[in-house]
Amino acid sequence: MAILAPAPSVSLPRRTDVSLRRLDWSILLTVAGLCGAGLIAIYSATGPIRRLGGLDPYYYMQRQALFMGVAVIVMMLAAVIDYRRLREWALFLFGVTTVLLLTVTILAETRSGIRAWFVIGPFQLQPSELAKVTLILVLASFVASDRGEDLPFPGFVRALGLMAIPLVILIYQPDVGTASVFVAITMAILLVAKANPRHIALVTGLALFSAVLVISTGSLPGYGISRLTTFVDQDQVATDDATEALLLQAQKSQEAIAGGELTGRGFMQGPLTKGGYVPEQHTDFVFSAVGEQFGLLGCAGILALYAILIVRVLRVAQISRDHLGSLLCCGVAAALLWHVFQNVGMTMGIMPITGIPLPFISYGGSSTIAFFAMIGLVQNVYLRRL
Amino acid sequence: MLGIVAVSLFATLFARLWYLQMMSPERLDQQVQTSRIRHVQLAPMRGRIFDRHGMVLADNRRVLSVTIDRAEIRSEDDRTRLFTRLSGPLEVPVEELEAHYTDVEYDPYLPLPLADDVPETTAIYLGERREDYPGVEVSEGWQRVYRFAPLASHIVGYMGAIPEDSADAYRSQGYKLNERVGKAGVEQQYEDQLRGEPGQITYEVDARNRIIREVSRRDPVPGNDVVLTLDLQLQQHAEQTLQQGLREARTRCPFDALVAGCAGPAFEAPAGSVVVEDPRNGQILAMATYPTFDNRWFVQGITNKKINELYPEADKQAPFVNRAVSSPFQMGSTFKLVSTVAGLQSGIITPGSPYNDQGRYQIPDCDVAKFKCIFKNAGRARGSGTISLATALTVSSDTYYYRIGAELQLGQNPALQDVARQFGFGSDSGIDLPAEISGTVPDAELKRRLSQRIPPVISPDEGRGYFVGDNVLFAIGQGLLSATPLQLTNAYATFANGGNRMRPMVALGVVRPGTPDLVPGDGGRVNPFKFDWIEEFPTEVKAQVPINADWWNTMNRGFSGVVASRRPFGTAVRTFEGYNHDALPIAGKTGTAQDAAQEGNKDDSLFAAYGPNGGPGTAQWTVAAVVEDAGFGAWAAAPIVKCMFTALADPTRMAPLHQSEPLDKTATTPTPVGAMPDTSCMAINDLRAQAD
Repeated sequence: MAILAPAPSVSLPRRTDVSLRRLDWSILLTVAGLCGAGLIAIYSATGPIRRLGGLDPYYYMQRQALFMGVAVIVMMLAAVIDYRRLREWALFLFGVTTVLLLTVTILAETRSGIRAWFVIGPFQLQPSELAKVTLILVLASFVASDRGEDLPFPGFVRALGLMAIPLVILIYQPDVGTASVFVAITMAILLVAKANPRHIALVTGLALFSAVLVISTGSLPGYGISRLTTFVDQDQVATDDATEALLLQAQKSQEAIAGGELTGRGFMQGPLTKGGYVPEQHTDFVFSAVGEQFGLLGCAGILALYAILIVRVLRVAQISRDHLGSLLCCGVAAALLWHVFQNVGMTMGIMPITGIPLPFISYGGSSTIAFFAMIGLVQNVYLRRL
Repeated sequence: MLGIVAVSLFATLFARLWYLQMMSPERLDQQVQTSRIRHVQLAPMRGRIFDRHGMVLADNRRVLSVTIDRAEIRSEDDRTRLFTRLSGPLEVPVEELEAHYTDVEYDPYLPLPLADDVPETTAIYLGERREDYPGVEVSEGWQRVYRFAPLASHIVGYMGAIPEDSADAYRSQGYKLNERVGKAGVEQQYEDQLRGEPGQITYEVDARNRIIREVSRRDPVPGNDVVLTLDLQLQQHAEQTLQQGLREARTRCPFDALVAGCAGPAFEAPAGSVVVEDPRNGQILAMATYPTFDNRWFVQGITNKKINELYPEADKQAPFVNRAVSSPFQMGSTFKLVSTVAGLQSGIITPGSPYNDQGRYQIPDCDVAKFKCIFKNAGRARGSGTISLATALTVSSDTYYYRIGAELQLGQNPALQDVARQFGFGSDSGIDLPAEISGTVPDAELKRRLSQRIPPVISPDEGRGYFVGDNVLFAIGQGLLSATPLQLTNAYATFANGGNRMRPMVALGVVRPGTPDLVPGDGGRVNPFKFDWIEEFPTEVKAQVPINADWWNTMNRGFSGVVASRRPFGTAVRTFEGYNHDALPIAGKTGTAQDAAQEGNKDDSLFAAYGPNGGPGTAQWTVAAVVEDAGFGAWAAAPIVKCMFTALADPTRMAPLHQSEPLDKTATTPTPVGAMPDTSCMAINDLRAQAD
């Protein structure tokens, strides 16, 4: 504990003006817009099929709305408690999510090829989503320096060591997609914390080498491999059922998006979306529902919202009163950026099919709560700006 | 720093988005629309075919077959991938699946059949992996089971693919090109009744071929069952007797050679037919033909190679021809039935008028230089002396009938032709079997037609007209007369019942499906008392032949003498020695149809008989047999008829019925019909005493 002890707590200024007026409303409005688009997309991807099957067509949409309600409360919590005080809790929270992650990996049943979900009554909890938030928190807490100095090598190693714990668990799940998010967050925070670029290059090299080693020796379970290689060779002949399903998924998703053309086929008018042709279209492949129904204009609009969101988060990082705040925001921005790029890229066939959600749009309680918590952290920093 | 990364990543996404949505060449609308609905055909259960006692001649077996939606294999990559993955579970090589794909026989608008009759386990395997086998369906179908094959194969018939040349006709009746239809026999004749109505389920499925819901469902309607007039045990006896009769005929040689110690070639007796009809109603109780076949070969299709293997020497079509209705024969002296009635109707003869048979007959006022004017008895060259009508029939005097033929033609009286047509010659009998031929009745018109045919059947000189000589030959059943064994049977049935020519039928009627098994689970016989009749086919009188009681009794006396009279000596008396005339008194007529080439061992052997012969309408059975290239009627055909009557008088003489053993696919000879249990009825005492 001594080694990992955070920097001594500074005396906090008594700025208690956390009134609504001081919130960053552009971020909130952007998030609200994305959430609205998400509800529409989720309904269009599940409603017609469920109605055909004689089931409640609003089921997924209503649940997602419920998740958003819960997430807003979490966001408020994350915004209200001063992030500098949260720093003291960072290691504990990280420990809790890591233990959950380990437990789920050992105990949970396999779903979609990985062991990532706790089943709690009618809900599922995915600890890896929550771990993203605590990772941002703990990394920022450990590498933040208010004296503006470069990150020393021991700090660099400690940060990598922290990340390595959930990363190993995730690869074991195996959830390569979420693992890649962890890497992205860590890299971003280390860069912004002014780690020695040579160190980063060295670690990156080592990581690539070991990745090649792992894949070529086949020690990663097959499902993970096929997820990674599917986008590389989409004309490959499937050798196993899982790979074939992935190929089909990628193909149908692209067909759906291609079918949208400029203006889209219109709400509830997409044949592939309406017919349920794209598997997981309300979760990871929700972007294909947007693409088919709302076309290039709709997709560009969604991407624009993300761009605004990320730019705003980075802006908050700039105006943060301290290094910790900047790092938190940069971590959040990196997580959002990577999620969006990886997820949207996957639905369009330029990234591997890794099961990570599209922030605020994909159906899923854990991820929605996690992203709202991240936004809460950013608001937290913004509220306490100078 | 992060900003730069963010901008480049977003730019990448937008570029891809632009490419996909604005530049992507393929709009996959069509495929999307068509692959959302899947139709599954539900084959109806075909009607069964029973004999009159409920023996199940044609039954059905549930089979599972695998098909694939053509939309899923349109691209070569998809096809190769799917076929490769299907090859293992289906145990069919990929090349064979590819061959199915290119086969034009399959309806292009229907799912492509990949494998028939797959095991239940394979069906379950594919059913559980629907997502991995897009477009693949396992459908339930029915396969024909002929439980007593090869018995009655010619009558029951078989099924096969819709022939290309009649594809349109079938399609207009709602058939799919992949359906199998009746191609012969009752299967063809009663196709409409047997077929039923196919059903269809329409499913809505998602991209991974998972069923979302059932859109609509139309259950198949099973076809109606058809009950035949056949008595299967009698049919079996007929087939066994016919084959035994042919075997024995092949051990004999023609009469001339026989006298010299059987010097010449023996009879070949390659083919024959025997028909048993109930003269009171026209019902066919048995109809056997040789060579025969096993209709189970057609259940899954038979190759030409296999046909050649099974029938190495015969004309390839010969085994599949039902000679009883589809082959023409000369009638020989059996035709004297008609000549007698024609003579009586025209008044040339009376029942009591005597005639002096001197062994030869000369046409009056005949120009010997231009025509054949003198006709001799085929049998008794010295003649029979002064004979009555009954004796003329008993001893089969030719000259007696030469006179009738000549005098009718000299008087321009077409009585012979008219009466022949009354008895059903020259026209379809109307039997409910396909491919019936009507045969020919010789007259001026027929001769003209035959001489004009290309190539001509008779010379143009011959075709100039119909002469007295033609009618003389016609009167003894030679010349251009031709008829089927069924027509011969039906003519004698007409006489037996007193002159009503019935329409012969092989079906009693149509019953609703679901008649229960007589022995539960046995499947060999249903309970005929539980038949739920939709329609019982009525008895139909096609024509009436005026025969008064006096004529009938006189002729019956003559026919009885053929089998029972020793003085005058009946032509088949030797053959019927040992026959129990008291048990079932019968009357009949021999016939020997001489081959045009006059080769002794090419004569066709005919015999027709009816019994009991107590009076018009008392007969319950008419039996006629025709054996090709087998000599005198009394030699080959009569023993067969005798064995049939022996069994009719005492059914215990027939072999019991057993359901067939499974078809031996490796067999190189036709499936045997089994041996008759007692061949003693075949015995002929003294061949040399026989003559016709």
